[in-house]
Amino acid sequence: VADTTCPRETELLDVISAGRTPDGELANHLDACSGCNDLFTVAAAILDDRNAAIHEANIPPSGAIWWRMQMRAYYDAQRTASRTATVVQAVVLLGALLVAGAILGRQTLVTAFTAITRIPLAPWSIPLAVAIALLAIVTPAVLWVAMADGKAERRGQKAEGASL
Amino acid sequence: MTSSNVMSSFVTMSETVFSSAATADEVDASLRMDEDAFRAFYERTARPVWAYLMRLTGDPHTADDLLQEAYYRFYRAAANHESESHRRNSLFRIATNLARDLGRHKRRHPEGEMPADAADRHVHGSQLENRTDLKRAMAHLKPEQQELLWLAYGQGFSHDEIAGVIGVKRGDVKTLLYRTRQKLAGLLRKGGWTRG
Repeated sequence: VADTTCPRETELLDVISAGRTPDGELANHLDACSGCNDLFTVAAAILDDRNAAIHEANIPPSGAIWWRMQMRAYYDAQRTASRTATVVQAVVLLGALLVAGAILGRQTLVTAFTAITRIPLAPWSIPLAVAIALLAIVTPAVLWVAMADGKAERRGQKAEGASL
Repeated sequence: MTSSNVMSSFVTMSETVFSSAATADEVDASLRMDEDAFRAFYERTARPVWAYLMRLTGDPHTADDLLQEAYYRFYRAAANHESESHRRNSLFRIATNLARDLGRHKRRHPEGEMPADAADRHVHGSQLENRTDLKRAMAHLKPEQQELLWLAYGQGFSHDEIAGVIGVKRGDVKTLLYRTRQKLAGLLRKGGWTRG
């Protein structure tokens, strides 16, 4: 399919955009040039439709939109904060359960570990290792979540302040 | 299911052309995007964005909902835009993605067709006939083709801007536009469209 554009398209678009109908030499060109004919048909139809749609658009006032956005931002920030708190609680609870399990089952764990690796371990070494590993993993994660939470909260406060 | 129900389920599932009257001061202020700047930007752009969404979705109520969602996502993105036109393009990109997401959602969850005149409230006579012709003809095009034509001829976007908004290569816009225009012109002539 040839997709060459006619050099008179810009001129034609200017005429259509101004709401005028091509006349004189441009009208003659329109009859002879299929590309410009297509352009006129399509651009005129779309522009008419757009102008009618813009005229009938019943958009809410900008103040109402701004207020709704602030309220929604505030509730979104609250929801985010509550979700992150739940995640932190779940992680801490899981960590506590792991440490408790390691403490309660320390004798069995040490025996199994020694049987497999033939490395002797002190009875408290496994609970201690689990606690240290959890601290190393969970602390940065909790700090990150808390910081993200704070950021969301600040955003919410800002939104709340703006909406009052 | 009503269109507002579709919209609310869609939202839970998942974001003016420059007014020639806009002064340089207004444009500079809008780059900062505080309340006044946002409101000025909204006043300049809301009607063209609504018209665009109305044509893409075919339903004024859905366009109302998507318009608000688009501005909210635009605001929450809090992006730094280098110019007013960049900001406007960003808004149109969000609106385009929202309309596409809704279209995909509707294809996955089909429902009853909208009344034929739902998009043509307050319009009568030959203007209504022409708009119905255009609506019918546009319905034969893919959503991406509708976006392309509307941005080019309804909004007067450049090829670069269209490429940015609909996510195609700049070099492809010219060819796509030519072919799509040819197709729509054929459909409109077949339907007997004449400028009212």
